Amino acid sequence: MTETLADFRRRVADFLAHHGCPAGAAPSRSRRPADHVAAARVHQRALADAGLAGITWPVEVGGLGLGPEYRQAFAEESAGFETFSAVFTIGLGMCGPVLLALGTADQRSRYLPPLLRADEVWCQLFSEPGAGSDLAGLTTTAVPDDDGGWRIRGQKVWTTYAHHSDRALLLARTDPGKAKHRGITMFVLDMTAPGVTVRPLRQATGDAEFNEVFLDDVRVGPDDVVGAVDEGWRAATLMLMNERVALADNPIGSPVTLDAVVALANRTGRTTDPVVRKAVADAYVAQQQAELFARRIAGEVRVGRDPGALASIGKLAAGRLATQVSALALEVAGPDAVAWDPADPDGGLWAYGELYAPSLSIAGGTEQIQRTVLGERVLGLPREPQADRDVPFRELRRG
Amino acid sequence: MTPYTDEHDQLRASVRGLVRTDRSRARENTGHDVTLWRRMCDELGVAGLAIPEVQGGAGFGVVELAVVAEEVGRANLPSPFLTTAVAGLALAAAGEDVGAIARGERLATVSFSPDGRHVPDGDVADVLVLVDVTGASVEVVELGGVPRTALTTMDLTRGQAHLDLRGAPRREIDVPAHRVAALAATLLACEQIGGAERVLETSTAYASQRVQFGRPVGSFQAVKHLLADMLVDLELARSAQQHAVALAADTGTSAPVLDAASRTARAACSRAFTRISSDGIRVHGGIGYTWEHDAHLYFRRARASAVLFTPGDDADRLAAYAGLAS
Ligand SMILES: Cc1cc2nc3c(=O)[nH]c(=O)nc-3n(C[C@H](O)[C@H](O)[C@H](O)COP(=O)(O)OP(=O)(O)OC[C@H]3O[C@@H](n4cnc5c(N)ncnc54)[C@H](O)[C@@H]3O)c2cc1C
Repeated sequence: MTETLADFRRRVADFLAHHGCPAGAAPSRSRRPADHVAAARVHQRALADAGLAGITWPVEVGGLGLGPEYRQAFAEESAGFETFSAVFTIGLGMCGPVLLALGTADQRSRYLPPLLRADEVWCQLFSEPGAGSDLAGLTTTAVPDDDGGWRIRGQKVWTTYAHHSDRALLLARTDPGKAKHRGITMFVLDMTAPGVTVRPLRQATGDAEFNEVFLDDVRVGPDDVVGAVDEGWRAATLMLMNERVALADNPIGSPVTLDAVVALANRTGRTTDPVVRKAVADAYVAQQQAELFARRIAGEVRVGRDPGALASIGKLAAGRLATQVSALALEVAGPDAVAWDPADPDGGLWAYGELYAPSLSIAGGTEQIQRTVLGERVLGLPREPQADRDVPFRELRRG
Repeated sequence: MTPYTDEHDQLRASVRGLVRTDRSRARENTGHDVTLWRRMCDELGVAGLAIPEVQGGAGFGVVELAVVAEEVGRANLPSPFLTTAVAGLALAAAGEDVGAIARGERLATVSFSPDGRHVPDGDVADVLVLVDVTGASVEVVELGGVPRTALTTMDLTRGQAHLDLRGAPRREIDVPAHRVAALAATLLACEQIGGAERVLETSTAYASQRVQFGRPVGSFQAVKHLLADMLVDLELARSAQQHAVALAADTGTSAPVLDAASRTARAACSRAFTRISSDGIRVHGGIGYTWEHDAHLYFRRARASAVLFTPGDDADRLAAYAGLAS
């Protein structure tokens, strides 16, 4: 018998009351990153133990086999609690769904249960120094070896949480004789395998969440191919679609929320300034729209519809909103936002938010790319002429 | 979640089929098409759609009104639908005799300006519902003998008049002012979404077909991204609008929740329709700037709608809903 939605909600609320971590109470992602990841793992394991992980995933892989309305209910109950989305969006929101859709029975039973329990954290090895927006231009290669496996050589970059990850989904070129989108394969990669070197990169905020990853003759087995050889672009597209949905659904937002800015204004007495009131009203309207849109998309998923490229709107909305709210924070905080007493525990928050905001317009596909996606796939506008579509990859001009 | 079901699609198709016939009227600025209005009332019962059957209406609700408002906005139809639907429903809720309003024979309108200035459809209305949101009171004013000055309007699709209400007989009626205000704001948002949606469609179609430099102009990123931004504005605003419709349709919605949602929807949709209709002109180039093209009619409506029904304290209230102390 399926648990009723009301019973499920009660169970979630009960879990959160005992094990939930109120937003802001977890170790700071920015200042105590390792503790944040450790707390995230503990939280996810507790969720799994309570029978609340993998709500829509099949029972065979440790999920609950429930409909999307249960996931929505979970999200609603979790409002105000830390969800550790920065740590888990890639694994649970992106890699998991790809393995569910394209993985072999063996891959699903081997990788999904530990992913759900956070025994293994996953990362996304897609972007390269020479292939960002133009992801299909990647040059990391996988060359067959004698026993049916592959040797991987190349470099990845901007890999979020690679330094905390156990496994990855990786894209590599398996046939440079085919057109750029047709000679790519997706692999599961063990991040502890010999030849994998992870070097954290410092970001504009000063944090080091993303990394460069060097792949020096790393061996993967024949069972590590996800989907079919040379059909990795399909898998990549599926993953990127899930990325947009996940980000629209549960944006990995800036720590500077409108609530925090309003609280600051109330504390500092900047509440009657009509400029501030108007700016707060504008930000409130923007925030409401972004939230209601995310709910609409979740509703579409709930009734089994593919929100597809529309999720790009949610991504753009999240980016715009973060920019608007962090700018408002600087307006309200004034000079304190840009210079603070080192003893003040909340001192750097507003500057951090302002520095964080641009990342939302780049990660997961830049604003420009999202607009092109919307223009071509939602509005059906004619594509740009593409010089590289049907030419064998090795003959393409690059650089 | 969308408040609409398959039955609403049928209503939508019926309204769309009917209002398509009227195109050039707005440009001539001759007011609404009385013949079309009669057909909308006789064939589809739009004037009394949400008025209970015992009072002579069709007994549907706010969601159905929303569908019609979207279609009226889409067609940019000069029509008293919005004002008479809002005022008629308020009068019906107060137990007034609304039979003739439900049939569309008498036109009611609604205004939030106590001085009788800038009353929408004030040039044609027979009765006025005057709402004082701050004082939480609603009055009804018969407009028979009231002197009026029909105004020259930027928006060629909705008339306005200054009404001289001194000496006009007024009577307070028993209906919650905030509900009337929320319905007006919400249905206006529906009109705006309909208009914005149409502008985006025609602009997209034009950009796909107009060729310059040997390519459809919509294949140029500058144009494509402009259209994509229009889509983003539209869909974000639509989420706020649909949310407000769903809450307004639910009689159990509390006053502050309804007020916040309807003000949010109006602010979002005003901004979206303004930007979209303005960029719609740009996407069309020179032809979009001609009198004969519809683009300026939508832009005119967008600019005028953005200041319609505004009690003037929107930013202040919205900031308060965001939690800002006053
Ligand atoms: C915080 C953060 C986390 C990230 N995490 C990951 C991760 O975990 N895994 C991963 O694989 N990647 C990750 N990325 C990488 C991200 O996906 C890329 O940075 C992004 O896709 C852009 O690629 P690029 O950096 O090479 O920029 P480029 O593609 O070089 O873009 C430079 C500029 O050119 C514009 N541009 C490029 N092509 C076009 C075009 N066709 N039309 C119009 N404009 C164009 C872009 O919009 C941008 O403004 C992350 C990035 C950030 C910032």
